[in-house]
Amino acid sequence: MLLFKPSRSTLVSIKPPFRLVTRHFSSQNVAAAAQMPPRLVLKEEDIEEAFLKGSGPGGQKINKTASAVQLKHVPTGMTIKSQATRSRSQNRKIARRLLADKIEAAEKGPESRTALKANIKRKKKASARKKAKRKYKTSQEGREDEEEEVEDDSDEPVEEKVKEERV
Amino acid sequence: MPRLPTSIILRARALHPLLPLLLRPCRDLSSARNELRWLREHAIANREVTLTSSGSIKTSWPQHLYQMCRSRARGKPLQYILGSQPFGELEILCRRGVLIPRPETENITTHLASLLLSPPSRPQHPLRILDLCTGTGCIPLLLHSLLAPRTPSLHLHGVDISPAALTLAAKNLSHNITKSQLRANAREQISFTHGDIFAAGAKPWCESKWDILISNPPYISPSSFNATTSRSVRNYEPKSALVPSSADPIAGNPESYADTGDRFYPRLLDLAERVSARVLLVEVADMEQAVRVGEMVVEKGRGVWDGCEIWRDWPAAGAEEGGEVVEVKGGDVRVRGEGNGRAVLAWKGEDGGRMVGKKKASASG
Ligand SMILES: C[S@@+](CC[C@H](N)C(=O)[O-])C[C@H]1O[C@@H](n2cnc3c(N)ncnc32)[C@H](O)[C@@H]1O
Repeated sequence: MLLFKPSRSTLVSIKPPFRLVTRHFSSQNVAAAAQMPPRLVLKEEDIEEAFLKGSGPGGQKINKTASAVQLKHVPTGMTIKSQATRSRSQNRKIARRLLADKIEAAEKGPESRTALKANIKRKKKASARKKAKRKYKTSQEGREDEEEEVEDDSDEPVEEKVKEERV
Repeated sequence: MPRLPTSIILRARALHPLLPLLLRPCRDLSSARNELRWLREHAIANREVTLTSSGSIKTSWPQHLYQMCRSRARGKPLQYILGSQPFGELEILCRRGVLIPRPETENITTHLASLLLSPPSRPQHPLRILDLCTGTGCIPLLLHSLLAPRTPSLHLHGVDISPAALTLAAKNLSHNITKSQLRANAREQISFTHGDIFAAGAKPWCESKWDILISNPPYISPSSFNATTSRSVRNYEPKSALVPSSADPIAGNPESYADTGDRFYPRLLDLAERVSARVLLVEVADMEQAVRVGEMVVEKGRGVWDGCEIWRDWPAAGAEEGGEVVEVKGGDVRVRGEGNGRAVLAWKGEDGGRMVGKKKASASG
C-alpha cells in the first residue's frame, strides 16, 4: 500500500524523457477559453517530484493501484498532489497544470485564469437565473448548471476533478 | 491483517454505501474513494442501455458497480476487474492468468529509456532489445513508446513460456496502436515468440545478437511467496509468473540457490553472453537479491562485464555526487536512487557503458 507521507518523503528532480506541455480545454470550455490567457508554462528544471515511498516490499509481491504524484515548484515552494487517475504519467500532467494555476492565482490574483474562470461562471449563472425568471421555467436551466459543473476547476479537492481533467 | 477500526468503517459508510466494501482491500479511506471513482466511471462507460417494452429506458450500471465492488472486496485485483493497467502512456490490457504490470517495472523501464536517449548514448545503428519473460509485453511496448520518437531503427522482441501471456501481448500491441499510443511501425518493430528460456537447443531469438537484454523474471522464493506477498497476489495472480518452478534447472551450485528465488538469474546471465548483449537489466525483489545477482555478475569477470550497479525503486532520485555503494565480492558497487533494491544493471565495453551514460567503461560505475 502506498502511504502518502509528504513530510517524510524526499523531494527529488525526476526528468521525464520527454517534455510534456499540454494545453487542455474540455469541449464545454472552448467559449470560456477564448477569453482566457494561456496557462502559465512552468520550467521543467523548477519542478521537483516527491519520491513517495510505499510501505512494504513492492514489486511482484503486491499489486497496488495508487499512483499519486506530488510536485513542488522550487522557486515559490508551492506543492500540489494529484491522484485523479490510475496513470502516474496522467497524474504528472494534471499536477503540472494545477501547480501552474496555483502559482498564477497567487501571483496575479483577480487577473489569474482561475479567478477569470470563476468570474465567467458567476456571470453565466446570473444570466441563467435572469433567463429563467424572464421566461418560464424550463429544463434548460438544469442543463446549463450541469455544464457549469464540468467547467468548474476552482478549488475542490483533486479527487473530485477527474471528469474535467481527463484528457 | 489487523481489523479496520470501526470508526473508519462508519465514516466510509456515511460517504457512500459501497465504500466499506472497498476498504477491505484498500485499507485506507483515500485509496478506497479513488477506487470507487474509477469503478464507477468504468460502470458508466460500459453501461448497457435497454428500452423496455413499456418504452422506458433501463440501465443496470449501479448493479454492475455493486458486483464489481463485491469482487474487489474478495481481493480480486482492480486491474483484472477493470481489464487494464496504465503503464507510461500506454494502456496494458490485463487478464486472469497473466501477471499485472507493476509501477516499479514502469519506473526502471522508463529510467533505462531516458539513459538510452540522453547523450552520450544516442544509438546510430538499429537498436535491438530482447525482453525475456515478457508477460503482457509491457516492457517492450513501453520502450517503443519512449524510444521510437527519437530512434529511427528499433527492434524489440519478447519471449514467454505462457501461451496466455503471448496472446495478451499481441493484443496489447494492436490495442495501443489502435489507440494511437504506439506508432504504426510498432507492428514491424515489436515481435513476440513462445519459448522456455531454460530449453536447450537453438531458438532464433538466442541465435541472433541483441544490444540489450532486459528481464523481470519470476523472483520470489517459495517461502516468501507465502509469507510476504499480498493475499490478492497469492489468490489471483499466476504463481508461475512469480515463483521460479523447482523444475527449472539450476545452473552452477544447486545448494546456493535453494529457496532464494534466484534460479532465473544465472541463466539470464548466460543468455546475455550468448546473444552478445552489451547492457543487461534485470529486476529483483530486494537489496539482498540485488547483491546476490551483483555477485553473479562480478564472478563472470572483467572479460564479460565491465561494470555493474544496483538501482532502487526510483533510480533517478537522490544525490549525484558521493552516493551509496555496497561491497560485492571485495569491490564497491554503486547503488542509485531511493526505495527498495529493485534492479541490477551491467554493461560491457565502451559501447555498453556509453549506452547507459557511463563516460568510460569502468567497474562499478
Ligand atoms: C514476473 S512476470 C513478468 C511479466 C512482465 N515482464 C512484467 O514485467 O509485467 C514473469 C513472466 O515469466 C514467464 N516465465 C516463467 N517461466 C518462464 C520460462 N521458463 N521461460 C520463459 N518465460 C517464463 C511467466 O509466464 C511470466 O509471464
